[in-house]
Amino acid sequence: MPGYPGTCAPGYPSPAGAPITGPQTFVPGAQAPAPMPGSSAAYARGAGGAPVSPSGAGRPPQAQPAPYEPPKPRIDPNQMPTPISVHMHDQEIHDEQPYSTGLKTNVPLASTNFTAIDDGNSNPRFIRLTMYSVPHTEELLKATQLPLGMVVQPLADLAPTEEPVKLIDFGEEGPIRCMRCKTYINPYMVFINGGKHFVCNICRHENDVPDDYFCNLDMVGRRLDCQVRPELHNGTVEFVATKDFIAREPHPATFVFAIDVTWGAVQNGMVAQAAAAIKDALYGGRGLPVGAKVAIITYDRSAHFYGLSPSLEQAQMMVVPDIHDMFVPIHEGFAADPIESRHVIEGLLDSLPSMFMQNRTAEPVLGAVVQAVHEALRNTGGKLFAFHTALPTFGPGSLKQRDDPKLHNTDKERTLYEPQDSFYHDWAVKLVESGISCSLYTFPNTPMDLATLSQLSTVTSGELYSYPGFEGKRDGRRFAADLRADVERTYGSNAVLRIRTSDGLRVDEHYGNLFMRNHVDVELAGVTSDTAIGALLQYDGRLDEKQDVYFQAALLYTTSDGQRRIRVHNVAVPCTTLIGSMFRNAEVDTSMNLIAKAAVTEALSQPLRSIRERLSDRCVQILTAYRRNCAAGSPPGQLILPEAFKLAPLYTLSLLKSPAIRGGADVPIDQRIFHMCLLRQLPVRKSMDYFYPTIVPIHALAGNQGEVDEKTGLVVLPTFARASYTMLDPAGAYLLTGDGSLIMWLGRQVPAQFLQDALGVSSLEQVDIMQHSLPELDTALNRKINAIARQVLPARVGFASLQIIRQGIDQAEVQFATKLIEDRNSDNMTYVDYVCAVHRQIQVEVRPKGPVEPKWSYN
Amino acid sequence: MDFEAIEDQDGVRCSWNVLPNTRIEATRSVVPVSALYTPLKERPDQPPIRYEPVMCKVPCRAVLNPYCQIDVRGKLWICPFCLQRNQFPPHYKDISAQNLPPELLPRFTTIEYELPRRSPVPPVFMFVVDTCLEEDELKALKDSLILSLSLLPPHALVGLITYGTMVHLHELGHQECQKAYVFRGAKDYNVKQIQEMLGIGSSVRNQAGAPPGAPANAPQQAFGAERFVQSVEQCEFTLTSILEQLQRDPWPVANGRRPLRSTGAAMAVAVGMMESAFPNAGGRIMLFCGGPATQGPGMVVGPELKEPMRSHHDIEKESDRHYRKAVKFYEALARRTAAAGHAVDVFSGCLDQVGLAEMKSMVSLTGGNMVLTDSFVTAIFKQSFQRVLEKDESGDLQMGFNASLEVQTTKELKVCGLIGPGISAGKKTAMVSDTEIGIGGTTAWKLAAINSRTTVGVYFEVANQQSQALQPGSRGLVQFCTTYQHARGEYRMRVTTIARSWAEGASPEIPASFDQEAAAVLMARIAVYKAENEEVGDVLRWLDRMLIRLCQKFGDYRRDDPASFRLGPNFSIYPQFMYHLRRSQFLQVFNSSPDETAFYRHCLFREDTTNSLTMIQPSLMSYGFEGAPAPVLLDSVSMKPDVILMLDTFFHILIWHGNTIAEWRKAGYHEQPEYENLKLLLEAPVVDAQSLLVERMPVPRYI
Repeated sequence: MPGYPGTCAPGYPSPAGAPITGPQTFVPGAQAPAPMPGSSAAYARGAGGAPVSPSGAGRPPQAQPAPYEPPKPRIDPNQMPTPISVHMHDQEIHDEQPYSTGLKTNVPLASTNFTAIDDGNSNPRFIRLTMYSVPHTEELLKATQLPLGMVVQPLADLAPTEEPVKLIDFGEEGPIRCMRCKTYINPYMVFINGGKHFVCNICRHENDVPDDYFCNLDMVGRRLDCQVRPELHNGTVEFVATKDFIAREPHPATFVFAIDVTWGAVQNGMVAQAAAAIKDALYGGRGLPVGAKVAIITYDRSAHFYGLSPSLEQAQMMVVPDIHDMFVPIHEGFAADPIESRHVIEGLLDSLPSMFMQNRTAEPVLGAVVQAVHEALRNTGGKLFAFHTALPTFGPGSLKQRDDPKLHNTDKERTLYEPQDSFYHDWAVKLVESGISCSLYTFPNTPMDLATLSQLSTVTSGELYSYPGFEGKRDGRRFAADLRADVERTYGSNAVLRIRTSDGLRVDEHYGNLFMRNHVDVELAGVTSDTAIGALLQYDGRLDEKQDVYFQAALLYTTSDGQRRIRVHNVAVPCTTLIGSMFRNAEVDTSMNLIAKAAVTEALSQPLRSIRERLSDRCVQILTAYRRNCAAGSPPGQLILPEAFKLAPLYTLSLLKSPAIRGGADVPIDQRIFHMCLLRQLPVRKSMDYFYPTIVPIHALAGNQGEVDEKTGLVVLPTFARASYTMLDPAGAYLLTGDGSLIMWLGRQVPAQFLQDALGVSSLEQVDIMQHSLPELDTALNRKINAIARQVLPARVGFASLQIIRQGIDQAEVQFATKLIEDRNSDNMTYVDYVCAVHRQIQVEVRPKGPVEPKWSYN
Repeated sequence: MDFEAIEDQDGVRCSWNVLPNTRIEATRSVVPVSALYTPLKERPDQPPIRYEPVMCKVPCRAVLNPYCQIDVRGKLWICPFCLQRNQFPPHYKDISAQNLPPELLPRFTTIEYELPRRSPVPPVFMFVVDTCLEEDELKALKDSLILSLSLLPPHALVGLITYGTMVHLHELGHQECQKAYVFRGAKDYNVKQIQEMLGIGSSVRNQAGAPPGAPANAPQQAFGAERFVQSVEQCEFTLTSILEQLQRDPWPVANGRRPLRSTGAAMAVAVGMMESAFPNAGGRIMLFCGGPATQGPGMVVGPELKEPMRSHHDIEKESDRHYRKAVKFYEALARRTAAAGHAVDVFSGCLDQVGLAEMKSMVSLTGGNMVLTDSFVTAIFKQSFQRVLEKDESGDLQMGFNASLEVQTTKELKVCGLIGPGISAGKKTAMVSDTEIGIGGTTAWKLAAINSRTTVGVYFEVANQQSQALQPGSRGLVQFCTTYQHARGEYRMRVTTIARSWAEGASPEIPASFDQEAAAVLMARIAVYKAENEEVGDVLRWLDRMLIRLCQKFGDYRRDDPASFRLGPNFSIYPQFMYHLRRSQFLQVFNSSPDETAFYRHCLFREDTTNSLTMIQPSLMSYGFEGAPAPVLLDSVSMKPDVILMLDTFFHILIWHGNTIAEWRKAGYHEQPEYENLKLLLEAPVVDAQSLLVERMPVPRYI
């Protein structure tokens, strides 16, 4: 097992420069109070007003003394807090009953399957706050070091059990809004003076109620029609936009697929896979959103357009060799209805691979294609899916190869994160102006300067996909699944998002794939169900602790079938003056998501080394604040973690190991950029998968595991395994998924019977590791494994390609091992060691004015 | 002297067949020493001989001819032009006074050699098709084009460019679907750009942009263009289906606007591609254009309908915004095309003007055809188009490609220039005169396309000074040497050597040798050539002055007695020609559009003596019961009630029935057997007209 780092001895040797601060700061584990990881009381999240301070008997914290002295009293890794148990617990709570958003707090975890009932606050799928108890002053927030912000996912998909968002048409007048701050009518507006006026919940302005909206109030001051008007009792509603919101006639979406057909793309199978994937995306499943049109472009040193009009027998190919002065050579038939022109489009996609089989041209002209798409969709908006394989070195927007391994892992590395010229940014801005978003699918074999190219997707609110070392056979399915998900998901264009907050707060920074011309309006050329915008809040003044704190996120967008809409999400949460309440209602999933977004954003201006230090510092500071303010009485040798934030060290460690942030010269720049882009746009739900992989043991499925539960309609899953090599059973088999890939790990001693049933082979040696999908066999076990695989993969990525790895046999195990984030890998320490290091720092912080301690230098 | 017999023998008609022996005398003769030469005049009785001509040493390169002195014993010949001695080549060793090779026989003053070299590329036909047409127009044009594929020899290469708002260069070798390269219509693409973009041409052949090395059996030396240009047999199916599916330009045309038509850009692409891929190989670019260019380079008129087409008046006043620019653009294209040896044909099918006035240089510098019709639906267009692709008895296209004409003269003569469809090949020899008439400064010209009717006017100057009197009996020699690519692929060389005696200035032989018809045509060419560049008024005055001087010199009169004026029979109808020329459409632009004027002038520059005369002075034939048809005066007196008249202006043929005849016909007498003579009379002019129609190119309008 060469090069596999996870096998190092349990007694993690202290690295040379590690600060061992001396025995006096440590209490051996034996002296710590017995941790109670399974205690149900410990995990009850504030139910029934549990004691504010978790220092009571039922407190969740794990006392984690860290042994460093030669006689090593080992910390039992099983005692460490893990997402698995936390998630299971949260899931159990929400399996029982639906979550009413009227509670305002105690929202389900992002990873939980829940049903929410919209009782005034938006479904947490749409907006998640980092804390559901907002401190009334900035000082209070500073004291905790917790981030205050939110992640908005305005078009998020709802569970089938949840009620769809209601559409309201206010006619020509448009929705009722506050005169002063333009907040949209929402359940938290207060009607006064017998219903003649209403007070804006955001800015406290008193507005007249228009005559035709007037309604009498009941005894407690609520409008009588409160229950029949969704905008007065639902946190999320959608308004029909009036003319005032329409700058340009809305059009149904046009999806343009632009395929690089240069030699490299043909050779690695991308062209064939892309053609097949597009066909699958268009006709294999749900297809495009209703009303959307399709256009196809291919390009090498020139751009090729295709006339797809349904009256043709076959597509007409038009080559524009004049890439320096790009134009669209087709007037009608550039974009066609995928159903009407099905015969033309299918015929074209079928023949694309053979058409370019002999293409020897290199140098794809991405810049010209962007210009052409801009020209074609200038008046309608739409979406570009670009499938690109190489650094564009020809034509407009050509770039130079500038990757320099000497810069890697130095402070100068970040110059490589900066775009090398403004072409792509400038054009991306033009695309935004026309409501065109761009999903960039990259298949690099050599460095292709994603730092520059990725602006196409980041500025235009598209997504960046990367398949390094793409091999058609191996990665084709995953690519096809990604594309299909990208195409099928809810899509809107030409959107503007505006987040309004109660007086006293304002949005300081927006994170995500977006473009901003001013400080308040987030321009999104395209918005999908996965579009997530992070917002970090800042204090303007004091908040009124007697009032709730209100947030409203309004998204103006054009639906894929050409309707202009305004979707409004409202959230009200209590204001607090107590640190304990803040910690109790903090939300680690959203906080870590936002911290990650902020961290990768800073990577352009700061060396990664200091970003890593700051991430750890932040973690320590938060935990120290908790220790100081809520658990001051506990012995100094004991590590006390706040219940809601107990996974913070694990997630921080995972973030530190992310290719976006981790050290080491071995991360290719493009890979770094890809992960940075990914982190910047990840919705909270997906970031949980990113931070901790799901590992399903499949060798010992008991009872109904692997079968569909009648009640929930979901496949019953076994308890997940932890992401540590030592936790994997050599006689077992596991499915690992996290970032969309699916890996099957087979232990060396896995029983032959299992192999026979699951894969249809009798021994490990016979396993075909080149197979990229689970075989479909007529055995119960195989069916169960297939069912589990479908269940654990991120919702729509149904058919990710499979990679089979045999313990101790396949080279690829090294790659597998890096996904086990609790182990020592990726230029960082094990989970246990990291927690110890964090604990050490907390003790340093808490200790009154001791000698100056060395800072983080654990790597 | 039977000028027409000479013409039949050599294709040459000279203004003077006996030459004044000094420069001064020649100048006094007013009409320059000049010749109308039809290089490829059909000579069915003399097939080409299949070996290389024997040539004089470099730089003379004159071809051995019957006027050379030979020494059969010394196996030597003396070049009459440079007077050098040349050894006969070894295979002429059996030469003797009785056994002479054909080129030394007196009846072979004109001889054609079939050279053992072949053109590496078969003739190339590049169709450039306007798609901004009405449906029925486009349909008719498509039909004609599809039909034309069956008229082309199967090995000929064809390519297709269609244009409207944009320019589409169709790739013919693409199997999977229809594929076309598209260019902006409003942009002028230079050769380099076109080569780079298409990956063709010698320079970019082996770069990354080019497709993998062309298969060895593909058209040789096509420099990567085999995707766009393929042999008829290879691509007939593809091309037919492309043509069948050809749609009107889909870009919307707003009310009050003309369709955006990028003729200039289309031609730039066609020319660029042809010169890159097929330099110096025979080829034609055939432009089918249904309206004026409204955008981009070579724009003739703006797209707004409220902007009218330019008129002669606008051009004269220089008030037109596009004219000069467009002329310059097309002329530059024309020069490039001609230099690469390709010809441009323009077929216009439009009731209004299409900009021939601007585009004429493309045709006139390359020897192409210009056909002006009202619509592609008309028979005139269809027949003219087919006539261009006519074949001779042996099934070869009746056209020569990429020809060059060289003139050799004995030292007493110098070459002033050429007026005809070609450009200078820039050959400066000692024979070049300082005086320029037409395209001067050279003794060689390129005629990118040439056929059996193409006739050029070549102008000479007598260089001999007074002092060096020539011996009587000596002759001035002119050798025309035309190399061209035959439609079959091989190169051929036609050599015509003529000898004309010298005579003292006062000798009566000189006026006796005056060919007034040829002279009229030759003078007309000069006049029209001048009119292209000068004010028409000046040209008319010049013509008048020349006529007066000629009459002064050769007329016989007593001073101050107009009645005494007599001209010899050799000169008698020359003034009449001048009279008609003065009021012809060639010099009078009133009532003609600039396009029509360009068309007429173009025709005059390429037709032989007889046709040219018909253009200058229409012929009117009268058919009656008394005697055979007879030419009558162009006068209303000729319109008698009992005759049928046939007017032939070359461009139009019109049959007129006198009142009585018309009534008889109306009454249907000719259908009754007893009046068969009327039937015959009615048919006679029709038959004659048909025989004229068959000869003409472009097909005249028959009314």
